[in-house]
Amino acid sequence: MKDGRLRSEVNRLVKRSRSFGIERMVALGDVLVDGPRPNGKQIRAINDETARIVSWAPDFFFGFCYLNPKLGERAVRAEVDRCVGDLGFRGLKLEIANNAAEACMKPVMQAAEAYDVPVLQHTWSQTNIRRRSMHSDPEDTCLLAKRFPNTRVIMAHLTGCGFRGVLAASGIDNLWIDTSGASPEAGIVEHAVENLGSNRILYGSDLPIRDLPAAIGQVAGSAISEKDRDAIFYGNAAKLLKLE
Amino acid sequence: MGIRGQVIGKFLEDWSIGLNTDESIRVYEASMNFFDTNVWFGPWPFAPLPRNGAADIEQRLSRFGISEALVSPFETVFQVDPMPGNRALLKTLQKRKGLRPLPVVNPGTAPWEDHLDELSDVPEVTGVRLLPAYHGYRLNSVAVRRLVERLALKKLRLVITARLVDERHEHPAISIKPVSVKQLAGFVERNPKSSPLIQGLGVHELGELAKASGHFSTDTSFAEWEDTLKVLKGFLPVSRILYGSLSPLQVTRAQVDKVRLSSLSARQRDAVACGNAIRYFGV
Repeated sequence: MKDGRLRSEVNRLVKRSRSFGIERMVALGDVLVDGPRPNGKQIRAINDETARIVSWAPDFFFGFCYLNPKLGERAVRAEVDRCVGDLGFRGLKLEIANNAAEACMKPVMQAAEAYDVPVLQHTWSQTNIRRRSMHSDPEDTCLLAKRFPNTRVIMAHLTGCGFRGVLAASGIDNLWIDTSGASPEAGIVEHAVENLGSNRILYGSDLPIRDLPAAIGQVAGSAISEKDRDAIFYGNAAKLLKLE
Repeated sequence: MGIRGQVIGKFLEDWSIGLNTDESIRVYEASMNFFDTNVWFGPWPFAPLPRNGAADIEQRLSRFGISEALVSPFETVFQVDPMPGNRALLKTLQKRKGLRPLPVVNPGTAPWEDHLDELSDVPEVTGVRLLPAYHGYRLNSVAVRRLVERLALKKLRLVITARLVDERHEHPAISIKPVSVKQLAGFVERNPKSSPLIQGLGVHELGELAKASGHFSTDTSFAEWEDTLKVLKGFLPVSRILYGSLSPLQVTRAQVDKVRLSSLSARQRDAVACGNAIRYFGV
């Protein structure tokens, strides 16, 4: 998308999001635009676009640095140094270049620990999908968090992780789950709060592939306490991203 | 970043908002009325869902301004003979003013015509639901063709459930694939006057189906993109989009807000929320 159109679209989105009470938003980048395993140049272009978007509304957006761990330690570290060290990004984002349990994740986790930023790992139950060579099952992301206890890991997509994902995440102190992804299925937010505690859950929308009011409504309409809702909507993310 | 009609990656993910949720509920209770075309009755075996008797449904729907709903029985999903579930539903809803029965017919069973006759004798029945993916028949079968003819004679609407649950999340004990767009497109092209209400399709699937030459309506239950209704309006007339919550499988408030907080005009939102369903089902 050309810059002018992108900026107009971002402005519209910021305005609409703010009208629903959203104060801050994490921009992750157009992470699948070049396929599941982008090269170094493509990675930099995606992160450059994220930086541009953040610069248009710096009081609203945080940037996360998108990485392809398959590119190796040197490439990973260089991009983290550039995005987190120089551009001020606040976290790292992993998609489907590899499974989270693979050895190539080690440099990613070491860089995250060095900069003290969280790692957001795309995760979805592979019970019915069966593409574990690229996608991470909840068990894989939980294993990643256990292997690197000094790094904060966000397991994306509560509904995609499902009840099995919630059970796998129990008792891992450096792991959070976000509520983004999939239709607003009933019961899963309550199950996560009951089994993990609301302090382990972050609100997420998965924009633009999901409906923003529906994403908010999945949490707001779940049978949990107001205190739990507030923690999920704002408090937990604020602590994780060190806003307080 | 792309917003519509192309394969894109995830772009934004927001974590931090501050909403006064109770206040929000009060606001839309007063401002909009909903007719829900996709509500289910009874227990569901695969998730810890809230109690789901008729009184529970009434309470849940009224909280969000849903004054009318078409209700189908979960019992019919996993049983070959849908009639015990249908009869139980009809009996339960007899004195429930806002809950209208939408019984299920299984044209894969020999006595389906007798079942249809029995159901069409009930004045509250304005249409029937098909579950091809769960009952194991195809929409190009002779029985379905005959069913369409019979429904036209009886002036009953046809509702086709393409999916109830995201197939990636189905319980591993069952293997259900949604009714394909190809199959649905073939059906609407072969039956141009049937004008079915097709429920449970995603935005991209609806975009594909809209290219078919036949006429159909859809519900909002599985369709999602940023500002869903605005996106749907790009390829489907607003008059053919009906509110459907898929309650209790999905969170009712999320589905209501998808319509209530859309950027469409108030008139168009009201049409999706209520008016289109009233006109479609003639109630």
